[in-house]
Amino acid sequence: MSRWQYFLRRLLLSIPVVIFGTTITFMIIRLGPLDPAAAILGPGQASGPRAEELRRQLGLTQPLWEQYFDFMLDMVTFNLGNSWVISSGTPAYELILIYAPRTIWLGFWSVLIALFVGIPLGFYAGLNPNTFSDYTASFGGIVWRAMPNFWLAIILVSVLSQSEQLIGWDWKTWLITTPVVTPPRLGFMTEPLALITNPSESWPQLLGAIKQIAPAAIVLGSSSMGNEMRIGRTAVLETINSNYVETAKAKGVSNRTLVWKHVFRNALIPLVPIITGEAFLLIGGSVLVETVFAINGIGYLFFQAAIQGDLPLVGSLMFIFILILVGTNILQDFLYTVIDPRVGYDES
Amino acid sequence: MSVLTDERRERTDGRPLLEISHLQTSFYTDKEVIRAVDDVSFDIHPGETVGIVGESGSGKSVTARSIMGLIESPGRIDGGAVKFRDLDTVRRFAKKYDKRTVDVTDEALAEAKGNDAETDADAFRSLVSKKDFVFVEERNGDEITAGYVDTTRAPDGAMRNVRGGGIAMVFQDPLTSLNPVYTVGNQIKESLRIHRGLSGQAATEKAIDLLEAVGIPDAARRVREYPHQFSGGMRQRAVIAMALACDPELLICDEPTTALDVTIQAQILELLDDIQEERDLGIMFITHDMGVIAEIADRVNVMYAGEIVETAGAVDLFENPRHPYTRGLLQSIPGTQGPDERLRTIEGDVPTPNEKPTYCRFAPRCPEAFDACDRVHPVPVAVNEDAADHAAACLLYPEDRSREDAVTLHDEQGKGETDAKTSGTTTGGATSDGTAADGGDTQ
Repeated sequence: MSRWQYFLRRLLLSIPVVIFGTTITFMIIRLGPLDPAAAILGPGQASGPRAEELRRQLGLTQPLWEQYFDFMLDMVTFNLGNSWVISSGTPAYELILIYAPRTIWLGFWSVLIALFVGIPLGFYAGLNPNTFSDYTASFGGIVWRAMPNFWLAIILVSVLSQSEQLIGWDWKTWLITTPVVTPPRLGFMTEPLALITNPSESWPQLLGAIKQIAPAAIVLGSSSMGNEMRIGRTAVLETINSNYVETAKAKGVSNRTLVWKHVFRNALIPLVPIITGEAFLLIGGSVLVETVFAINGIGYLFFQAAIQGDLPLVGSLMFIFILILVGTNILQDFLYTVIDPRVGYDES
Repeated sequence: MSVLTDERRERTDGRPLLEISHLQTSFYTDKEVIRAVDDVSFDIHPGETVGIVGESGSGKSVTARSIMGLIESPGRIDGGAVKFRDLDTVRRFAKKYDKRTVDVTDEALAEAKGNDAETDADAFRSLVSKKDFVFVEERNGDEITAGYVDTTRAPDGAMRNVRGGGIAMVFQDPLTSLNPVYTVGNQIKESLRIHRGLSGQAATEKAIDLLEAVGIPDAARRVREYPHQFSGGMRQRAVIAMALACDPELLICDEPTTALDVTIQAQILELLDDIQEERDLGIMFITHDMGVIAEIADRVNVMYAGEIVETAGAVDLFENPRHPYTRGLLQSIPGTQGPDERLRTIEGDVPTPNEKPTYCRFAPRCPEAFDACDRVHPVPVAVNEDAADHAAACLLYPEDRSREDAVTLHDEQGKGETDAKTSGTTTGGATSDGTAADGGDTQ
């Protein structure tokens, strides 16, 4: 089986995974202790004719299998329904469009920071093992990795809010005036062309959005950054001591080719699942950081929907999370397929 | 073929292709200094296969890596010289590194001697500066007709050129010596590009030729496959093809058949034999398998704890092993005993050579050890007067002398050598310790 056939098979296999995940979601929200009628009507009114009427209106009295098929059909056709509680009557789709970009913006920068700081540092440490710079990088990596998200976030918010008094340098007015907390303004995302047609207005906006998300992204990316550094270092060390690197040296390959051709690509293989694994973490881990920085993102929305029994919204968000997870898995398989020719190799 | 042979012979002019003299490689750990290769000397001639045998930890692989310049920290070459006498390489380097080329021709030596140097070795030292690594021994007009490159002194750039180009190496484990993420063809072509500047279609064709030459069927398809699609024996063939890509003069094989099963092992040995005949390669063959050595080597060096303890022609060595260690090795081959006899072994382990030897390192395990073995370090001597080609570093030899005489001889020669080394007057002269460079550095 060639590696591309293997990839295609993985792609097809993801379909049952999505269906299975969505089914489980349905079971949890419908068979769990959530009572949307009580949530809508308020505490103490979970029974009585009004509640019954409401349940009938919401379709909760229909047979379960019928509800299941409706739910599944709605999900796969992206008919996400309206919110019941959080913002009654607003389509879930619209709510997600408001909240999701903030999380994506945050996730994008935290993955980027982890990738472009963690991996190069780790590779550098691995290429210069047991030197002062290696120890510095490794020690920094451990410390960075060990700081809990919520703690680092609070410290950062506190320091940045009063940076003028503390270190005589005002973060809020540096480069462009932005608040420390509250969601970044992402208006430019809807009109990316404005960056070219109207640069004087949209570029400062972009800069402001980046500056505002930076502390949160650093906090969220910090643990991944430490992880990637440590694993990158180990991977490089392992590769550089492997026999094929010595063979290449014995062939007269220059040091630069040795590192970029023979070491780099092999060292990336163990890093792929780490990187994609961190993308998962960004969905779950972002709730804490979003709360501290008051970035009302998708994690915040999900949390609110779940505790308030907003079934359509919880279902839609879960479905989207499932799609994201399966998507990252596919991306991981794709990266594997590109980097490692042994993928999909069948001994038979 | 014979034409090629003559041509090559002519190129080294009867001199060895590779001359290793008093090579000393140590590893500096926090705990101790391990003298992994301790004063090793031997030659390899074109078309000759020199076997190096010994147990694990006897310094075989470190010797090979020292030749290739692949010793890495905490290891270091402390002394001695590895003289690579390929004339093409010498001429090319003399042109490219003319500032680091030195004439040590007879005339130059005589002139230096006329100035202030007393002995030949002094004269040599006065000529050579610290950075020199290309040595010209004979010139015919402007053309260099004899000389060598000392790989222990060569800079990294020059060594990269020698590696793969002049001296190639095949490693022990074929399963891991190919990079798993590139095709076999890609890795062969890498060599061709570095040393011959070949690329594109020409390189691919050459790679296919090479794979065919090492007996890989359907090479045109195989060249595009990845290492994991090759079997173990095939991979070792591919590694050999890679080593041969740039037509090296010397092939170092570091236990190339150890990881393979016996039938494949025989095939690979046969392949090496064919290649050697075809190209008149010098081969240095490292193994711990006496059976393999018997099959392939012309000459055998037995190594123990960083030293060569016995050296002889292969037939001679197997018929008349002289050093007690060699005898022990041969007796521990299964099948050499009677039906009811237990397999003999050498008791104990190879010691870690971590100090300057003032005794015989094999003495604690030696069945024939006597008092003197603990206080006199044996040096290689001819085993008797008739056998100039068979030497053993053991106090029992030369066997035609009385034991006291022999011990005295070893004692004196050992001392003489130590003195010579500390004062920097080794016969080769090209020690890479700082003292050798003083003469040339003064303005």
